[in-house]
Amino acid sequence: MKNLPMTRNRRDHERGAVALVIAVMWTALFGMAVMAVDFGYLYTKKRGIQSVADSALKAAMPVFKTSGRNAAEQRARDIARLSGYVAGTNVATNTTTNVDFAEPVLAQQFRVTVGRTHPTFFGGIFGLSPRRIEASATGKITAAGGAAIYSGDTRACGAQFAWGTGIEVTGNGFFTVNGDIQSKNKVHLGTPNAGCDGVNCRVTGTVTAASPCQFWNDGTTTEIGIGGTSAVNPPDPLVANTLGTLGAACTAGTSIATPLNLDAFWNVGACPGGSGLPTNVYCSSTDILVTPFAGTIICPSTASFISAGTVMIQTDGNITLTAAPGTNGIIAFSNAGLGGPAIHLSNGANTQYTLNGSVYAPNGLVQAGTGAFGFTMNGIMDGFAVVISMGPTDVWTFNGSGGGGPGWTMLN
Amino acid sequence: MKPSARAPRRPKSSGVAALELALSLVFLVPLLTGMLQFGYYFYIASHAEEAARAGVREAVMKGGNCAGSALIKAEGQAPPPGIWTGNACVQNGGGAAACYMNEPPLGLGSPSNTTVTLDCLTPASPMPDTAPIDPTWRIKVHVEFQPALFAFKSLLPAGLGGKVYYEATVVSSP
Repeated sequence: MKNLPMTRNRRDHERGAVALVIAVMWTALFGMAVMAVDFGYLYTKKRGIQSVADSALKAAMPVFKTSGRNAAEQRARDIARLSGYVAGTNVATNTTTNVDFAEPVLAQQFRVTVGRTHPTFFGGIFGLSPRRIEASATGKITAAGGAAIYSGDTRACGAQFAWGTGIEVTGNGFFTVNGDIQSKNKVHLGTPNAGCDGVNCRVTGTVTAASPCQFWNDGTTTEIGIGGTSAVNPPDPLVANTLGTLGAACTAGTSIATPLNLDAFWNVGACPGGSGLPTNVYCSSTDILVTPFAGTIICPSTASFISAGTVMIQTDGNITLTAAPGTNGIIAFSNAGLGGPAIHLSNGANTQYTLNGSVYAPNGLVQAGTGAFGFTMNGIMDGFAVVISMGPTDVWTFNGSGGGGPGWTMLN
Repeated sequence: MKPSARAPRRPKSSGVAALELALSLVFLVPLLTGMLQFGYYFYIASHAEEAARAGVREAVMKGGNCAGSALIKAEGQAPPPGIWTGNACVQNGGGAAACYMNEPPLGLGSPSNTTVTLDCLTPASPMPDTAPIDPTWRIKVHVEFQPALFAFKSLLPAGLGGKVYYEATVVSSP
């Protein structure tokens, strides 16, 4: 019986321990329930509201760009309404919805904010009252949208498959234009196997073939963009650049009045397997052949080529060029006329061709026909006529001079 | 002889643990099953929202107008072509929304599970569907699926054949 008091004491010490354990455990369990049910519910609603905000912004930005904030607000409200989001309080569902707008940078940015209160299930235990879920989307007008591919061909309208007239795109690759395609002559997107249907072949802006010339899209009966009579004579986005104005920026080669041999400029081994060029505006009165002096790769270089003759940028390996300063973002300018390519871009199979700038041949043909696995142009392909020949499964992307898009971009 | 202190206590505490367990399970089991049930439901729901977003984006990017939208509508509503997933699924003729729901591990893109309805709205559409511009695309992704458990099933929207459903709607225009 000696031990009896001790047993009693130990029991006294443990009294309430289970209650404490249960309190802690249930708090944790209800916390998990809040995580799984309430947060899951609110997360799902957040995804839905974010979609509404994004959609409203996408619909409103073209209007914001052309007609200002009031019209953009109305467009966004209409889209939100069709998605079931009308500002105000719904007594039946005990929810409050808001659709708000802001202009973070005057005349440049537009923001749509959509919000709604949603109940919580277990959150009430922790004092979580109905939560207001809100999502915003902000768009910004880009400095330059417009044409990513342009033809100033003023001759009589070419036939559908006429090579070297207007804009001709052939091949079975993946063709994406983040911007507009504009032509004073015909436009033919002949990507028969891939199908220019918005998936393998996609134009985010509009396709314009000046009246009475036609726009043909072989891939599908669904016409993308705007063709035919909807626009007449789209303006040349690079018209301000001439041989004379660009020639004034020459830093290598005596001038546009004398020939230039690039061989003396190549920096052999600037990258593995290739040669690079020092930063310069290279000018010539005759043809410029941009082919690495050694190796097969044109190493990443900042260089522009201004020629009274033709400009050929071609090799078997990767090519990466960025426009030199003082050229208005133009990598290659050719004053040559018709009769052959004025600017010829080509490289070998399974390579990458990247141009961070525009190519411009106001009087001649721009011909891009490579086996490149990837061809990316962050600039405008602008010629009197344009011919693009893609290899099978190649990925060609044209982003225009404004970084792509139909004149605006989404920030978040 | 003094009675032992332990002898009468034993009958009192006997079965207490089982009783506590039973009482705990009364709360614990519904809590855990509810978490599982609702967690799975919202998992599917969030995928349906994303599928709707992908589907309406696909339709909007094709341009055109409602008068010539039959092909866009047919392509957008098409079920996945067999086992293809992701971009390959779309390239082989599946609509973007159904293809999204077809992604593993969900695999809910087949017609019996996911129904995609694509409507082209115009300024001439009667209220409340009057749209600001032609085309304005509205996509509804209706997903019917077996709930994770039977428990709490009645709290979820009832579908056909013992299933539950979630419907995501997104509207957009070029």
